Amino acid sequence: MSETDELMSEFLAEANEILEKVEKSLDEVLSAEDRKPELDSICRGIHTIKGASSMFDFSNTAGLAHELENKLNDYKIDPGLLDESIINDIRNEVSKISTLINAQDKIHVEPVVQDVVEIKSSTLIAPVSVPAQAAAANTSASNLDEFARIPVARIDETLRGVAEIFLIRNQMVYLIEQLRAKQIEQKDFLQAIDLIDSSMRREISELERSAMSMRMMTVKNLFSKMSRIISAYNVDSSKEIQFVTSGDDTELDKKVLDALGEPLVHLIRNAMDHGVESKRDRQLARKPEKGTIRLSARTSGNEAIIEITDDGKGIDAQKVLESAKKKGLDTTHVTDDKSAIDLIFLPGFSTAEVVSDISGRGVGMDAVKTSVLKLGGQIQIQTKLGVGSTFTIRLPVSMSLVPIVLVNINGYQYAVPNQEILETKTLRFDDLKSNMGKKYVEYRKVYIECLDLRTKISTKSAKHEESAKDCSVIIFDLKGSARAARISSFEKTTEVVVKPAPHIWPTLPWVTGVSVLATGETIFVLSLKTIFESLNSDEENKNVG
Amino acid sequence: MSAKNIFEEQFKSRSAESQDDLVEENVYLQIVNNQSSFIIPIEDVREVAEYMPIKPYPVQVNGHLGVISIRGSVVPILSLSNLTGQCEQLDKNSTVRILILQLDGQDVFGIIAESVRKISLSSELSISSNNKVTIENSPVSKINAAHVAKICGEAA
Repeated sequence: MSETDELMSEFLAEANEILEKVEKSLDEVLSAEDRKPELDSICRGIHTIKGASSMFDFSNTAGLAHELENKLNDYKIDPGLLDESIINDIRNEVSKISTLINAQDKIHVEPVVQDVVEIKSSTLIAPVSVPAQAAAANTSASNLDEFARIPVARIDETLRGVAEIFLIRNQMVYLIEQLRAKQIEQKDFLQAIDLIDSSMRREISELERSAMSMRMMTVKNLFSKMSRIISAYNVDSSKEIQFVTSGDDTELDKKVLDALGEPLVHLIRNAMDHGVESKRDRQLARKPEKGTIRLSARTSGNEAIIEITDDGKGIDAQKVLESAKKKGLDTTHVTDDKSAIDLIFLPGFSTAEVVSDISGRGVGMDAVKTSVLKLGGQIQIQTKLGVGSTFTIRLPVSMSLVPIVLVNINGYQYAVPNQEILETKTLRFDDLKSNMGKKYVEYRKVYIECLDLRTKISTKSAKHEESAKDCSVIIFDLKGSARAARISSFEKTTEVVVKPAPHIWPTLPWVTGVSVLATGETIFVLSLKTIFESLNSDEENKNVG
Repeated sequence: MSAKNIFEEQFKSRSAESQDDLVEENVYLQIVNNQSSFIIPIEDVREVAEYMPIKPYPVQVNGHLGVISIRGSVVPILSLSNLTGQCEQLDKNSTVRILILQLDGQDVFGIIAESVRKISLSSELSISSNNKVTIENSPVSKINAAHVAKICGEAA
């Protein structure tokens, strides 16, 4: 990569960071007690962008920034004059600048400003039309995507880890030399090697953690992009939607984060367009005029959970089913509302009665599902008519070392992440109590339900000696209360690299990942919570049926 | 001899053939699975591995047998039972192989083959629109992406 390319990458990264800060200040300026500091921060940001753009000869971007700066200066004297519509105008200008800058990211040549103006009437993320010569000038665009901004402290931490491992290696060499020279007993040598091995393991896992942390980025940028989309929608539509985020500091692997953008945009657009009702409909339904879309992120074990919730009209299972039938889709497996709603993930499905500008352009929910599955994740819908819908995306946080307990169920080994486990116990058979067809074990003076995984895992029993007297159980947390899962036996605790599932992969909600042991055996990483939840909901469905 | 790459050996013998043969003939692997015979263009075959135990999924999934690990990569193994109408009988005799395929550069997966042999078909011998061809007076199907979609689709 040439020096210009490097400078360019730096400019793009910094410009995006500044624009995010500007967006944040724009969100906060109206509600701030003293508007001046926020407005100053916006002005500073735009001024920096202007300067940097001029440096790269991006005269259109610099021109836009200059005009915006002039406009902002008018309000500097009395920030009290700022109101929602002015802020929206400023947001529009900022997004034009952002679109121009990010178009440069893709094409490496500044697009003409008219292209951006045309975009205003549709959506912010519509592609900028690229002049032919600009596209031809694109020689190293793909390299630009490979950059990540890493705090220096993280790099230092990694280097410290490398230095530690080097020291341990020196200790090892010294010990071996001593053994060769017969200055050390074999027994002492082995003891020392054991010690070295444990420090080596500790250091490697530290190093792995800090190296992986370099790939980790917060979802903040992605969330603020979504915020911009909703702001733009508010300007163009008759609906009014407030956007609430939580867990902005949740970290995800950069690769996962990059690929998550598209499905998330689609889900947000759907929520705006098909979820949240018009002001009139909301009034009739006695709902607040302003609809709400919530976007939250959190981690649980090696999983990141992203939820998109709207307080709109919900999804009508019956309508979905009818629409699917009309389109000739296979509905034979539909037995309940949930399976009917899942039909929206089938290719070619769209319930939109009117194809709007925002969604319903043919890129369906199947594309969202495919993107999520490709990331090794899963997507689920919870919806209630008249109340709203929640789309839950579960994704692997990263391909990192995960401490697990290796368990044996019916002769096959499975991994259960340590993070899911409260306690492991080997009980006497008498400790297992039955009541109303369910098994219970005592845990901290309370009887908790115990699920026998040996009867749920449908693999044929391989050769495995099981003790008739003992029973091995894992105690885990399910939404704040303890539950137990009985397995055949415990094997050992170890650390594994959890890999994303291959592309051809059946829908397996019980499995959160797959790994390969040192022996070459493939193991599935089980999610006890999901097993328990899905079996319970199956039971509920049966009872309802 | 673990996971011996028969494909490579066969490829060597193929490259020894004359250039004219390569132009006129298309090379396939012919496999037998549950008394059904299939052919796969040799360029779609990534590897022919010796049989190794397949790790079944924790729940039975139609069309999917489980996964294996090949040099640290996890490869899903699909069942051809949706195409043959019968479940694979894995008696692990010496001829059973696992074929690792990548059709037209798509996703990698494996299938079980009770026996494998390399065949060359004259390009004049066209494969019919339903992907059938007659070899030694028996009907043989060419495995294609639609088959994979059928296997996975029926599993969903």
